Amino acid sequence: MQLDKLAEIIQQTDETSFEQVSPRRGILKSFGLKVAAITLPFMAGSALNKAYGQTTDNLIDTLNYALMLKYMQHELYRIALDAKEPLIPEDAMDAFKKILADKQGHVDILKFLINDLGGTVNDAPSFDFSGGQGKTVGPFAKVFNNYLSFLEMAQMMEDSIVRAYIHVAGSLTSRDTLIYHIFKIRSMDSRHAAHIRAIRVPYGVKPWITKNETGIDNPAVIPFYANEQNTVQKGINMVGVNGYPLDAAAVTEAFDEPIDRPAATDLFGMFVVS
Amino acid sequence: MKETMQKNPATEAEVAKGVSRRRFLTYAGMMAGAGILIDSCKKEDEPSTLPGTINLGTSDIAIQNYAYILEQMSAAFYIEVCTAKNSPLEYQEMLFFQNLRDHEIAHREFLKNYMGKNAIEQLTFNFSSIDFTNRDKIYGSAQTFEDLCVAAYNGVAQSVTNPEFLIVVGQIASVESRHAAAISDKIKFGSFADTADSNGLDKSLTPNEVLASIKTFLKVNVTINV
Repeated sequence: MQLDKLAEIIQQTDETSFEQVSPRRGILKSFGLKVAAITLPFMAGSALNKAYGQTTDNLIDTLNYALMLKYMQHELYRIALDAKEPLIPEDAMDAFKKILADKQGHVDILKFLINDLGGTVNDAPSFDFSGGQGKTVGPFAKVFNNYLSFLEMAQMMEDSIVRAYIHVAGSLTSRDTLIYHIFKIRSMDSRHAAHIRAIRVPYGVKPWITKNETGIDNPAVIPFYANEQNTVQKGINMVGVNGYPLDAAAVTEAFDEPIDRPAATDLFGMFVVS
Repeated sequence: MKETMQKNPATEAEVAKGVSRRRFLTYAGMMAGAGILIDSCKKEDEPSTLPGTINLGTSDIAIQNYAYILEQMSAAFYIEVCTAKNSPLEYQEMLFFQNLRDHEIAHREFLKNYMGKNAIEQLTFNFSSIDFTNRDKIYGSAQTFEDLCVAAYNGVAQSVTNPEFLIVVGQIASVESRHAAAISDKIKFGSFADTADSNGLDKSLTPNEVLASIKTFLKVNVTINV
């Protein structure tokens, strides 16, 4: 038996059965046996790299991190929709109710996945969307003052959490069902982001991110778009690639840049009450 | 068997071992690579060198080529939208589709360079079933293609083994989801998230489902074991 195939079988039998949510078909799905961990020789570039450094505890921790970002999104929209003096115009209410409903679904799925791994779901922290950690008034003080300020925060949040999720996927590769769900969550978030940006088109943005342009007149936003000006992907210079007339705007739009966990924790820390 | 079908006995022996006549794929350290088998076509009037089937095989390279086909198709579609005669699109609409086109070309060329010698050839596509002089058909087709690509990425991601490549897939897929939402919003503003299920999850399709869906636009048969 090929070593990479054996590794697949081990990964399959090592995990809790996700029969009702696992999309994988084939003979391995119903294998069922619990197999004790077997040490296999390390092979560069092989399927075994999928599992390297991803213990169940790591996975639970990563999912709780992803959940924290979700709690933050959910709370932003909940506050905006619950505002006593209407913050969101009538004709935009359906869209934001839909976004909130989707986020609730995402919270539910992440909780399910954490529980299924035998982990404990972290509770939501308190949030301060002014960016002052609950201690002071932060650089986004006007966030709920008016619709336009709320839209700016929503755009920034959606774009950067999409980017954080792009990186999260790389930390979950040892579990098919986790990748499956993270991708489907992030996919919907990317749609949310595109819609909010579509609303903000009059302010000079497109549904996709152009270079590291924010379209927001607040310098506190700039770090949230760091690296989006990147024109080199995996060592390939994308401007004019293979002779095609693609400029920096086009190639930066074509790729959303990941934000790793340390950077995300740094960026979003201002919104968590400590 | 049609008389015009040609078989090369030497090729068949190679095919039996999973080694393509045209490409030999290897991984450093892996025991078996994914081979591309190209069978001769049986059609009477077509030259026997026309490829009939591309088997992408298994593993990450198969997925890379699968994505490459989808991006090739998307780019070809938008190129046709942007160059079709008697287009109903206004100037701003054309700019929008040119933007989409450029993103798909970027994705396509990135994958081509990323794969190097492992990339399959550039395919041509048959969009004759689409009326590019009709605005509704243009937007409707664009939405279908984008939703399909989004579902394709969502459906294949868990099969990727290399975390670095998975991140790149996410980088590209995220923009496809933005495309899909933007086009939906052009058709009906507010419909950006209509593909969500009751848990807010976007759609996914298996590679076989996707390849079956796009069969009509391909001029070759494509199979994959992922």
